Amino acid sequence: MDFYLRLAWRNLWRNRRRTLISVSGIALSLVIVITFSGVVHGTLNEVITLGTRQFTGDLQVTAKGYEDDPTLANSFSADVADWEAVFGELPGGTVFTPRLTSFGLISADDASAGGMVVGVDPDREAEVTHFLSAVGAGEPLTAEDSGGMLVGRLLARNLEVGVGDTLAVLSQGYRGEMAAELYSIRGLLSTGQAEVDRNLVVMTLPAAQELFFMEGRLTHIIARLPDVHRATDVADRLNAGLLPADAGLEAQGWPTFMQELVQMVDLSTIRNYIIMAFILVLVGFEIFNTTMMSVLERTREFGLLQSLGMRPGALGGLVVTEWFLKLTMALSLGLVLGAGVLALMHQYPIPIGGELAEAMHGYGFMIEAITVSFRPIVFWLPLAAIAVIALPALLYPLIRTVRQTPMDALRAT
Amino acid sequence: MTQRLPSLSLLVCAVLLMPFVGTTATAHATDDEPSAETIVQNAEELMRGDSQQGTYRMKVITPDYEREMTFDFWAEGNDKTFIRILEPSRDRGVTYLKLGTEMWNHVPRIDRTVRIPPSMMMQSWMGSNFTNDDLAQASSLVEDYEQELLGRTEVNGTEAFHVELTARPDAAVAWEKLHYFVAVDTFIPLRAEYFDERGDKVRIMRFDEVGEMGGRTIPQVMEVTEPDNPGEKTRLELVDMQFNIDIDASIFTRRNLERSR
Repeated sequence: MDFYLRLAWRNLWRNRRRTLISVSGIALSLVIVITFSGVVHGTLNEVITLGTRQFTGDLQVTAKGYEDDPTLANSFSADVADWEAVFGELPGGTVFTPRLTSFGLISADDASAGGMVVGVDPDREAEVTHFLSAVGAGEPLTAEDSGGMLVGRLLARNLEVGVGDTLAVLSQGYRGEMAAELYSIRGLLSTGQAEVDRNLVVMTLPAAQELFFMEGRLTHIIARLPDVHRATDVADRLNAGLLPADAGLEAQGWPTFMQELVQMVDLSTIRNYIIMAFILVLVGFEIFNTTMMSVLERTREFGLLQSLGMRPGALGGLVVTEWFLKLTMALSLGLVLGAGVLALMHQYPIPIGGELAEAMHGYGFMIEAITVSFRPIVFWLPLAAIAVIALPALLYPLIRTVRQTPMDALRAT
Repeated sequence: MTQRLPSLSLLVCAVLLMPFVGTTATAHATDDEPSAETIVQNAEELMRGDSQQGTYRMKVITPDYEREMTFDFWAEGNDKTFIRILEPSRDRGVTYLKLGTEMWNHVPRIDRTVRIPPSMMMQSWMGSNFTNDDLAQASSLVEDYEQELLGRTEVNGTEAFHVELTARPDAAVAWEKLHYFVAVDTFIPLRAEYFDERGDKVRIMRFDEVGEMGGRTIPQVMEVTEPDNPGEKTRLELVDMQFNIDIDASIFTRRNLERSR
């Protein structure tokens, strides 16, 4: 074996230029696929985190049954200190915030509209989600504010009100009471997400608890995780025993409550696989080509070796070994260069401007630059794919070499 | 918008939906059987008359809590209704006005009159299982349903006509179909069942405790349940009621919404 290895190695460098061309060809292909993959995953990552960290959070804890029947009846009593302990069991960097959400009629003097009333802890909320920071006009909500609220920009426009005006919120309390209170508008929310801007009014958690007659109760715990992709795992862990027993609570990761986002991610993943498949087919031909060349070029040489007594199997082994060495070099080189390209792109992000940026903002995605991902899948998937596609590219040259007779080979021109 | 436990909304709905007038009937009476139209008209006339003025007591019963309230009630025809809450004291003076398809609500505590906006008409109002459309369009139930007498049946030991009301194809109504059971000898309604467009029975109203009220022999209690929410029910009780009296036109005005008593 050692002999073949040395022989193969020497053979590779007998025609230095051919080997360099084919190694760099495959390596370049890998660099392209890795870069593509890194950008795609980086963008998806950005889309997911922007999607979840805008408002919904990476993970939510609610009462069981809230999903089917999102009413105040499906709320739960909670002490933030207890929850510090629960989330303390999770990987560091996990942050959470309590919320109370319900619906109500939001009414100005002459107009009214249905809206979503969200009670938040402004300081905690800022660590978990972004929507409170999108105050377009006026001032942010402070934790001590009991008579003020933030109103979605489009909702305010529909009601023809602005900062400083007073709005009435009418709804139904926890026990069917009539909930009605006046709040003055501190600021307008301009998140870019039409759904939020058109529906939301935000007040402090204590104010919402008072409005709905439910002191100490919540509808949601919203959490942000260090790794957004682990949301389902973390939710499973919480459900498996970390959540307080018998409280009738359940945790859900974003893939459960943001199905549109999942579909979007799935769709672009499929699209990216198709693009990647095209690149890989090209790479496959490239490998086939160089392997074929290196075999054809040496037909007479192989014929000679065979007539001197080298078995076809041994000859095949030689071809395989050369192919393997070449591939290993190419993939190693490609991997290092690909990682280098991604590192550069990470260091010097390419800004997104013009129409593309506007289109993204229209969807509520405040993506400022092309971001790249360094998740393992960015590297191992292209690597594995090229290794797999290199296999059939080897097959034909190999069969040809093993099958040919010394006579034919020696007569070949 | 699916706050399930209905309070004021249920109250208003129950009152507005309970009786309806049949102006059209497709079924023909057999032999001495009255027509479906006649049956529904008689029941309607009995329960409602041309106008009503009185007081209701309503109790919402859920597995978690009970809630009781009383309110004054005025109605004329199908398109004018006025309600003023008396109890609980916290909500005293809260008023509702329905004129045709429009509805307003006034809350004295915050001194605001709110018009239920068109965009919310088809939505659950204040989280109840009723839509605002239920409240505002009670009158269209009259023209928008076809009535058919399915026959006689027995309801709680009383012989009853079984009338089916089906929404006309072009009618924009909240209920696809209703089954209405009316006592054969007295035309007192006994039971109403409400079906949605999927054909599911979504609400049942029972009429109970027949007695004297305002010179009429009518059910004093109506009980609403929903098959989807077992354990919850709303009980509406007549405290006092007068029929076919002249009601001052100033009652059904927006100014009256804000008038304190």
